[in-house]
Amino acid sequence: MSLPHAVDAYVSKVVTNLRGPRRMRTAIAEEVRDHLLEAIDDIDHDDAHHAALIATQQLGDPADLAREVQLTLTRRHARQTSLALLVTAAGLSGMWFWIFLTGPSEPWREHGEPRELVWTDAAGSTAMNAAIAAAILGIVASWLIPRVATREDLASVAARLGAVTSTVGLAILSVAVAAIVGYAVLRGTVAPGSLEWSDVIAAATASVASVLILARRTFAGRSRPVVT
Amino acid sequence: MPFAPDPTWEHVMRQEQLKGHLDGLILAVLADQALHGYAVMEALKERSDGALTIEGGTLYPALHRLEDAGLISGSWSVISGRRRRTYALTARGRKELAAQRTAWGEFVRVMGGILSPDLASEGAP
Repeated sequence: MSLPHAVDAYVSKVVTNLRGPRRMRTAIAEEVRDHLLEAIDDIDHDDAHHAALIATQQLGDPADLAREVQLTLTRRHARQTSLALLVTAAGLSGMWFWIFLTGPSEPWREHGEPRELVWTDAAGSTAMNAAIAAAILGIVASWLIPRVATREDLASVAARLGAVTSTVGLAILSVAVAAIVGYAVLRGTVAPGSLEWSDVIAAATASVASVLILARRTFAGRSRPVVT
Repeated sequence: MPFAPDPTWEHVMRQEQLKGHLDGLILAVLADQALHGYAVMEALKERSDGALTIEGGTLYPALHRLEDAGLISGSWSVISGRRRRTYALTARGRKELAAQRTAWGEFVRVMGGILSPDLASEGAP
């Protein structure tokens, strides 16, 4: 049975006004549609389309509904992204530290590490620490502040800050991974015997895959329409 | 204009008054059983003898906010071929409901003492 036009139109208007991952927008669309169909069943009517109009009026303005739900969606998404970012960044950081710590000894102990390696190493470490800091800030903004904030506008600003911070943190993590892998390649070029290559290749693959999975999870379907 | 309910002053006032108590009301109707959004709205209407009508635009953001705060938990099921999200009270939600009931009882006692002192003194030992 096809849905009455008013139901389709209402659900579409809600979804059009929502931003965020497709799965979250789809969940809202399904919930709203179920509500409308349930309401139509309850309305004493002969004409389903007329009942659908009544049901949509009872539910209120779709733009208002979307705007009110958006705050929670933004907060939830920012929190999930920040948590995933923190776990990934901390995991990758520990993994690379372990690989460089337990690998063959560095050949430049006495003469000093080549300058390009020092800079690449510093860039990777700084970026990784910045990604972890961004993740922690994202968690504070999207989880802690909304819990203690008594003002709705403060909670709203914090949620948006959390969303921006987690996205920036993901970008920084990409830079960190690029720098660390670059460091490994440079070091392998300067002193091939100073690395356990099987470990480095596995770690590089895991690092790139982690960033890609995280990015996909964060941005997947943001601009794709929801099929209602 | 299919999405424009009549925004009378009384209607707007009632919705605004409800907003302050909506979280507690939702927790209260979910205390006995898990319900989906529409059923929550109907339960509120039924328990208030039709005096409380919550707009979906108010109810769903509240449900999502409560879920985000860990006071209720939502789960999906398939009913008559369509997916339905049902909400249940969590342990934290029960504690919050108990706290809200206590605060409400105190509020009624204090306000009753001021607004209806005769009734308050009749009830006093």
